[in-house]
Amino acid sequence: MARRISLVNFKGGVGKTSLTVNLAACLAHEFGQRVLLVDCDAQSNSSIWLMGAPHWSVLNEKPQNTIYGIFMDQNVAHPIHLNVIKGVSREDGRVAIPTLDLLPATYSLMDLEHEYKNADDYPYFLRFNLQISQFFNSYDYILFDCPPNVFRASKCALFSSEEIYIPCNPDILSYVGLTLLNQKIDAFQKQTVAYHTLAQDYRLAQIRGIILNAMRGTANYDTVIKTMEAWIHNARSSSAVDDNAEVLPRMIRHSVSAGRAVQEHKPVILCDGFPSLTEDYIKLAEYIHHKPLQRATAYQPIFQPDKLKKTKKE
Amino acid sequence: MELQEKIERAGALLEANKAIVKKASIAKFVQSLDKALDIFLKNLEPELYRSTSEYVELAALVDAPTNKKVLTKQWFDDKANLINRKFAKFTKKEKEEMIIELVKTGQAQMVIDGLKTTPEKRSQHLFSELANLSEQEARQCIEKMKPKEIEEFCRHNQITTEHTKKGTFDRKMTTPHVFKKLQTVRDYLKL
Repeated sequence: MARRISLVNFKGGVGKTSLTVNLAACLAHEFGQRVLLVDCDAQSNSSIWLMGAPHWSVLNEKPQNTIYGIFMDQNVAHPIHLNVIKGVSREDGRVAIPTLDLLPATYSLMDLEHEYKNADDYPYFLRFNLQISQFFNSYDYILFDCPPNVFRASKCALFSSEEIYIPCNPDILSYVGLTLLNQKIDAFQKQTVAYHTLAQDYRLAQIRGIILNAMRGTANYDTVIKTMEAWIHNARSSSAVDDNAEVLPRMIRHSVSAGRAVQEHKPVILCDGFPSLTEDYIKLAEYIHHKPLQRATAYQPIFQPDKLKKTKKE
Repeated sequence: MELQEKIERAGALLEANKAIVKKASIAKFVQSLDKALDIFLKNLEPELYRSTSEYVELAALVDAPTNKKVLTKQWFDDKANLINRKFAKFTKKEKEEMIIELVKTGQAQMVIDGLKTTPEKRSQHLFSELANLSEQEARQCIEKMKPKEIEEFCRHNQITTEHTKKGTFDRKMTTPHVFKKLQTVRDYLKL
């Protein structure tokens, strides 16, 4: 059964995408895990990063071939498993990480927020869950790269996740909103309680930690780390926060040249010239890989297609 | 034939044909196999320990910038004593070796727990607790603390301490620094 992890923060520019892409790559490349990266951000940065702009631009014309296919008329959309790009990371035209796959996004995903209307029986997050659940047994990890908000796309990811990590820069601005984020997650989980038993292998997603990104060696982050620790200390009483939540001891150093990895359409681990950054990502992946997840008991019974309709009619 | 099957087959043959194996023509192969297995096991063992959750957690704690102050040479010497070893310098390689030995001898969890509950960590947890209380509640807690405890609390939380002309700890002049830092974090927590 795959570990399903969302990387979420209200704030933009805290490194959600770079963490997701590189964490996924390290888990696959260094630890031999089968990883599916699901791009839930309409900005499509992880998709562009891993696919390269030319390939992604072609895809941008075909929303039925992307994650948005889940929400399209099923007569038009492709079966979602056909939209997964296997071994997405390539080097000189060859697959570089065979166990890293991508379910890409394009700008069309933005329509989920405004245009998409819930079908009678299936709210968007349940529809997403039922489609994504076909991958639960074929991967070791499913990582959701979320946009900097808690709108529909993020909610889809949260509904299908069991773990949440919050990327933060070591400044107070990226801390701002953690309380609100926690409240939003908590409220969403309460609002959707009627659907938990209808979802496939539903688990209450919990915040497991804050990942500090872009740390500069010489700076003093004492106050900001103290603030984050104090926040976690208090937030553990919330059902959306794991009892063992922490500011992860593995942190990612700042690097001015990491943008080159994006230009080369490769995760950092495949690029030359970033030994410290590569080491940080590997150590972070190793830490998360070994941070055991005490799985809560899954909701029963497993979804039966006719059950929901019946309940609604009643 | 897979490597594992070959090893199993070799093991079975060695067991069933003890006399033949001792023949000079075969003995030299057995000897080199024995040597190769020794090297294999010697190299495999650290890798096995390296892939345990205890190793990963302890390595992360030893590397964490937030634990820098705890991890003095004395701390490393104490832990090296646990495994009856002495390290001249605690280089990256030596630290790794020490952690592997701690995992191997079953002492890693104790060291992890120790690192999580050092006086420094306790002070830092206390800071988190106080930051989540109102100013008045925090003040009551601080007032109950002994001067030595406050001094230690300040040292572990990077709070400036003041001293009298005689050089002793000045509680009265130090507490405003404590409240100032607590207030800064409390203000941020409201965001």
